[in-house]
Amino acid sequence: MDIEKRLEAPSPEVRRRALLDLGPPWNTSSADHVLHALSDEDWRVRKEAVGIARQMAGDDRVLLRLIDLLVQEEDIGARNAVVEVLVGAGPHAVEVLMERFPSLRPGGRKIAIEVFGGAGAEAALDLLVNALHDPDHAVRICAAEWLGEFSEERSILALRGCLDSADKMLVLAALQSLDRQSAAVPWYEVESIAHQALFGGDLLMVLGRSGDPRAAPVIAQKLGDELAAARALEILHGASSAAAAAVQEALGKLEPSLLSRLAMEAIDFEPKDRHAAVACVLWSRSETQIDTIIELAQRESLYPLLLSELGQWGKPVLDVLSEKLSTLSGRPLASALGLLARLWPADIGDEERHVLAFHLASCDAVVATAAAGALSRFGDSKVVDRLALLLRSDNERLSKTAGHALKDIGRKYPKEVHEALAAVELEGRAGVALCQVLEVVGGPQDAPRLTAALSSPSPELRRAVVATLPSLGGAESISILALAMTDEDLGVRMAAAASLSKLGPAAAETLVSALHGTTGPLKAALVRGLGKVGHADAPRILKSLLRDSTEVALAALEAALALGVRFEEVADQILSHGDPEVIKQSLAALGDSLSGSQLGRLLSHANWDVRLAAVDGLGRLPDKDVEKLLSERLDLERDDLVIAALNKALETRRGRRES
Amino acid sequence: MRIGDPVVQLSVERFRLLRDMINERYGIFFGDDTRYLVQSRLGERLAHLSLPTFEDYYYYIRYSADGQTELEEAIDVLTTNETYFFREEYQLHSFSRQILPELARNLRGRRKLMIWSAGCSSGEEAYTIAVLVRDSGLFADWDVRIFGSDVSRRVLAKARRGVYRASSFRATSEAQLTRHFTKAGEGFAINDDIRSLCHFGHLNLLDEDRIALLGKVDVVFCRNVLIYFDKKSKLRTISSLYERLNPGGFLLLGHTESLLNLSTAFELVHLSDDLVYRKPEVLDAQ
Ligand SMILES: C[S@@+](CC[C@H](N)C(=O)[O-])C[C@H]1O[C@@H](n2cnc3c(N)ncnc32)[C@H](O)[C@@H]1O
Repeated sequence: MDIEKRLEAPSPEVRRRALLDLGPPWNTSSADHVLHALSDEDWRVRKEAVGIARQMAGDDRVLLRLIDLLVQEEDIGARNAVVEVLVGAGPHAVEVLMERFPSLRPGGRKIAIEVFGGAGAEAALDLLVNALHDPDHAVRICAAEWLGEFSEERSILALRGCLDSADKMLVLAALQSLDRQSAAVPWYEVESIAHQALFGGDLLMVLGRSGDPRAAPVIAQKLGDELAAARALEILHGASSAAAAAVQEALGKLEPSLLSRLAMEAIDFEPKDRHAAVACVLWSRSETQIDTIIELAQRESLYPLLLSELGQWGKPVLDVLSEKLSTLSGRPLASALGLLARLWPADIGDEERHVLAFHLASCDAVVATAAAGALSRFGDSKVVDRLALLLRSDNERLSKTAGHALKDIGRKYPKEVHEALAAVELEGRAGVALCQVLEVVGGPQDAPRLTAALSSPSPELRRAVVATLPSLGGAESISILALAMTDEDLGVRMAAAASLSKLGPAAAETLVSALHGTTGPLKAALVRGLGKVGHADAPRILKSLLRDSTEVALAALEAALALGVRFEEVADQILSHGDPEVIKQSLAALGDSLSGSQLGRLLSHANWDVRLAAVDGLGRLPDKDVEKLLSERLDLERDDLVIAALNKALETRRGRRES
Repeated sequence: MRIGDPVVQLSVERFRLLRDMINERYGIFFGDDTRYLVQSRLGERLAHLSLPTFEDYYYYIRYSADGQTELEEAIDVLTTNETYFFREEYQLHSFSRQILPELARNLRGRRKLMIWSAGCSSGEEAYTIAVLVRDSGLFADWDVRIFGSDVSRRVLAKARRGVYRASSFRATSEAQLTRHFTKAGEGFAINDDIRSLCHFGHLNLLDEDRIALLGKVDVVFCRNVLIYFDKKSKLRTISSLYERLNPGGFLLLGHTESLLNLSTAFELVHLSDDLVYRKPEVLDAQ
């Protein structure tokens, strides 16, 4: 079937392929077909036609016909296709279109502006600015809209110039464009329109960016109905201290219910809007907002903002919050406690301490958890018994929080905390938490208890025990950890390896024994441990592991170097490792200490990425014979990336020599 | 596998290959007469892995990434884990009456006692030893450690749980049961004071290097384990047990086992109820 027929075929796919068969090279009739296809009913055919037409548009004849089409076309889909062709057809198309611009009818001028804007054609910027005064209303609006794509001073100034226009649509388009550019507009230029409801969010944002204190009450007034108002206030607040003060004053005068409604609705907002809305509530510094604030404090993500702002309210907010406590329960009570605990100064008095101790005894786990959390900061020996009891709570969070608190209090009152722990059994979750506390307050006398817990069926508990043993400082821990290295649970063995690594040279032999029959991450951990504890025989053992699996070999290299083995001693081994990743990582870490001949050998490595790394390393060496190595390799090299790197390295060297 | 499913046959040749692989790694030796036993026990592993033949199974263990794990699974189903509390009472009697007092005397300087139950199965042996040590009253405030090891993870999990059914108590007196166990569901749980003396770990007796993790021990119980090994593996194991023992330390084997033809390094000690082996106190100066 000939192409003409296929271009008319009922199947869009046949039509699309026919377009592809037209050329290149194209003749006049191909141009007809392609331009015709721009109005095809099927979008895939149109898309193909757009692509071809863009290439054809290099030909002025085609270009002019496209421009004609632009003006005549009635069908929206086809018109958009033509715009798309021209937007992507390059600077020449823009030039030609600019020449024709004055002769176009209004509809055509509007579409031409779309093309200039879409193409981001700076050459057409003056034309766009002038088009703000086009006799045709739609063209003016279109120009204002598209100027928002240009961040040039000229474009911003022109848009600002529109703000006092009597044409409301033009003002609106200009505001939108100014907002899109985040442009700062001085107050006197917006003052006259500041109160016009019509302009909505865009106006508020522009007002906010004016940075002028006088904008504050205007924007604040809109908080109830414009989402953007909060963000505009946030911007204004950040502009200067005077502006910030004005924002606070304006917010303080607002109806309290409006603010709290805003804050509650904000929960469903996008993060940015949410942040701004909550900030507005906090800036109001209105005590009537305390309930709202307590409610908001139940969200993790708002915590930093709440704390930093409430911190600036100072003492009054503490008093209000404290008074509130007796009227609250459940989650609100917990979040109020949480806030107080972070806002109180370090030297709180007995009364505050009493409040915390009181709530620690709450039967509501959420409240008790909040109190326990607070006691991390303020706890003393009086609450340790209660906290120790809570370690055993069925509530996981509560038990954990109590553990953290005891750990923190333990730093100040180790003896008291230790005594309180005597009654807690080393079992289950409480046992795990207990181990963590013992890390701080424990001593050799706890070792038997902990060791006994190693027979527990719970791997979590065994892991915790094993992790705690080194901090107890007993001489026995090495032999116990050695037994733990035979544990069925990999996590326990990993923990034992980590613990052994903390125990110095005495643990070396155990680490070495444990290496046997081990693979993977555990082996790597043991190897690193060996590097840490050191041992007379360690360098030899580590060297023998340089050809082990990737992670083990790298760990062995790291450990050997940590023990003072010189890289030259291990270079040959590690650089002949089967995994190129090992070679590359060693090069990255130590490339500079390698000799030219060592790197030179890597130039013929089977993997191109290794060769590339070797070229890189060689390029940095000062030796004279490097150049020879590189150019010899260049003759043999097949990989384009490596060739490019070789050329570059050679050039740099030659350049350096000449200068 | 369900009844009625066709039985996958284990050929003589495949059986030997599998058997040798197991023997080489774990010492356990399956005689030719055990082929059907092995076939039926490993049948469930084949079904589990959806492998059609033993040939596939053999290659799976040898060459797949999970081969090592599967070999451990195979060991889990193939080993005999039969054990119970207070097994071979007369020997335990000698242990309590003669060995423990002697150790208490000899070791009072360091006040530390380490006993290894090698091939502990589900833990009854280790806990039995702990009961005897505790009941002897000789080691209060000592650092006592009883370490049970086995190659099967399944039995180790059971040992850690420490809860047993009636069949484990076939040789346990009423008095012992009430003193050291607490009713737990359908069975009895070992009490914490006994449990706290015991540790468990995963060790292959042929893995001499890892066995070194144990450090030195004063007594080894290796009962009813070596009977499943071939001579070569017995020799290897005996020598690493010897290696682990402190001079003067004891080796207790099952009543059907002896070191005859295996080792002359140990000295034979005649106790009132039993014969046990002992690592000589001072080695001949050569
Ligand atoms: C019959 S049980 C003996 C239990 C206990 N010692 C007794 O006498 O009642 C034998 C145990 O030895 C273990 N075993 C077999 N080969 C082993 C090996 N190579 N390393 C460690 N344990 C092994 C088996 O898993 C089994 O649990």
